[in-house]
Amino acid sequence: MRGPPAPVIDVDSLIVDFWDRRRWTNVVHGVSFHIFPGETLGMAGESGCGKSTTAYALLGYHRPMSRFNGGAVRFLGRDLLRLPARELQKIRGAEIGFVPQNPATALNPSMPVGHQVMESLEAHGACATRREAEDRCLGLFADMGLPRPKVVAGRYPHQLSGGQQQRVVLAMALACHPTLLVLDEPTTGLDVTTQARILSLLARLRARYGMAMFYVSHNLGVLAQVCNRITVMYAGELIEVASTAELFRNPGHPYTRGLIASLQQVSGFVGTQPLLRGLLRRDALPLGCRFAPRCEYSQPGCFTSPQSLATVGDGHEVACWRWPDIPAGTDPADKGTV
Amino acid sequence: MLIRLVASRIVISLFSLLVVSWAIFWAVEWLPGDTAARVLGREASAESVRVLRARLHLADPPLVRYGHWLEHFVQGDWGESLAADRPVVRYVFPRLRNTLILAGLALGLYLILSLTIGVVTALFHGQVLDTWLSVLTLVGMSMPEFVVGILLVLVFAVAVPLFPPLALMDQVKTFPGLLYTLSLPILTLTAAMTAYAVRMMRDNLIEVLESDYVQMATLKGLPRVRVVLRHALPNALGPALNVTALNIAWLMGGVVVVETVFNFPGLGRLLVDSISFHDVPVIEAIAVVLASVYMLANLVADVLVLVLNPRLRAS
Repeated sequence: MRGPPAPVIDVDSLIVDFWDRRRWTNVVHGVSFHIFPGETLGMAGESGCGKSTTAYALLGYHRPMSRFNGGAVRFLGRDLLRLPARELQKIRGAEIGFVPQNPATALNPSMPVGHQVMESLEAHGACATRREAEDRCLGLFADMGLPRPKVVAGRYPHQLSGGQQQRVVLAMALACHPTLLVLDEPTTGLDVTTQARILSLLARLRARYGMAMFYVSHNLGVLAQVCNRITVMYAGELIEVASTAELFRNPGHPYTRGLIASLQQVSGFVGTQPLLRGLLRRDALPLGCRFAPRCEYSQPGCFTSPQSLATVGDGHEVACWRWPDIPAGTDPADKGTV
Repeated sequence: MLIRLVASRIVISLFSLLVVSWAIFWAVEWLPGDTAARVLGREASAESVRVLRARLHLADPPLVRYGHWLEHFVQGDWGESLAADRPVVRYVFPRLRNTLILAGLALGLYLILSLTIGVVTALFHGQVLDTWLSVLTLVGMSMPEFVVGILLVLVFAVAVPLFPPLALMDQVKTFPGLLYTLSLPILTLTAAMTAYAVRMMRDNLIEVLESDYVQMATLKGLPRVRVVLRHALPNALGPALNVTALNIAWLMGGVVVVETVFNFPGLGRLLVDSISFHDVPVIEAIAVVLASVYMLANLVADVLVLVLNPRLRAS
């Protein structure tokens, strides 16, 4: 009997709160998903929806002034939210690598970048001698497509370009051959050409190292290039999960459709889907569907009944009770005539 | 880069010392009374005062006297004390040694205390320990050193006679004995300096601890101790170093007050005594020495900041 392989990481009803001046405010609200070995899972959503917070949780980490308030993050069976600090240290940077949003601020300004990579190797006992760590660091830099690795290794972060900094950070994350790589908007600060180069580098690295990836981005177009499956997050909740092809061919949630329509508008394609209107306002979330205030298709019932993910197809889940009523390509103005 | 900075600083410092000596000379010149009258006392006849004034060249025009002093000083001849008929060097250096011992010990304790308290309060910021230490540093910051000194004497030498109220150096034989004799003046000097440095250290470290690269170091799986000591601390030291330079400068003045309170035979007390005698060569020597220490401290702090921050080094 051969079932699906065991997931690398299994996030189960994750809840994260932030301390907001005088009380705890919920930021991630019962999010569940899993990633299979070698798979790349994307997470899309706009700023402040809880994507980065979820990404940190995959390393058992929460930022200062925040807390895990429920759920589990099981990495190869072990719940990272309940591991002692010492055990977490052994996993972070070794079995799970992290690529931050802004490499310019994520590198220590007063330490040569080579040291910062070697330090990671040494902390995890990946190299017996300093000489070996140095060789491996230079090898990694070469793998990342950095010219003259030896020169780069001696440089301080401010002496490198944005693309080079991102390659250094990638080398740091991959140094110990992690099983899972968590990427938090890794190309957001880069120009389009550099972004394209980093994305193709990522594809090559995945083929070579075979790690699973969790890729967070506000840009669905980027996710489409690197991900097998994509989750869409809105106001701390997952509202859609599907394979990349399915998500673009057959988006279920009005929010996902809005994201795709925005993408098409940016690329000059005029579609029939309505664009997203308004902004995510965390202070004014309804009791029911959190997207309802911005939804073109919302009805009174949407504001009172909470929505959760329901299977609508093979591996395709949508958190919208009205999704069958909204056939693809329908303009809201035609509501009721089709 | 570093060499150019040091060289230019030395040139500027030499010029500053010249200005300092010029200003001090005129300040003393404008004080009422003169050396001859003070040395001979109230009973002296006008004739003997006139003779002594002539012997000490006090009758010469001020500019001539300043020029004379400067000419000898730059050649390494610090001259004779007007009041005591002794070479200034023999006068100043034993006192300088005493002051440097006191200031050095205070500085050592200050460095240890401000680093550890700064790091501890930053790591536990918002918690009870931090609150108490912060209150304590605020109190230390807001009290002038002579109040702290007198309070310490009242509590630890009079009420509970743990330490000597006066710092008598001639009885000191061993290093522990030295620490015991100087304990209260050291504590007085340290209290005032540490308070401000702790606040700088704490606030900077808190900011750095929240930076992306410290978070990255944690997510790389580095042990907490290494994250704090290797990634956070070096990047939080810069402003604290500048405060330390200022503190060393303050220390040079602070010793004057503290030495008086504890009757300590240092440079500060010599300065106070010399001013009352209008003893220009001694005053000038002390002023130049104190100003040099001040400038040296600032230069060392600036060099260290450059060494710690590669971004500044490049530009």
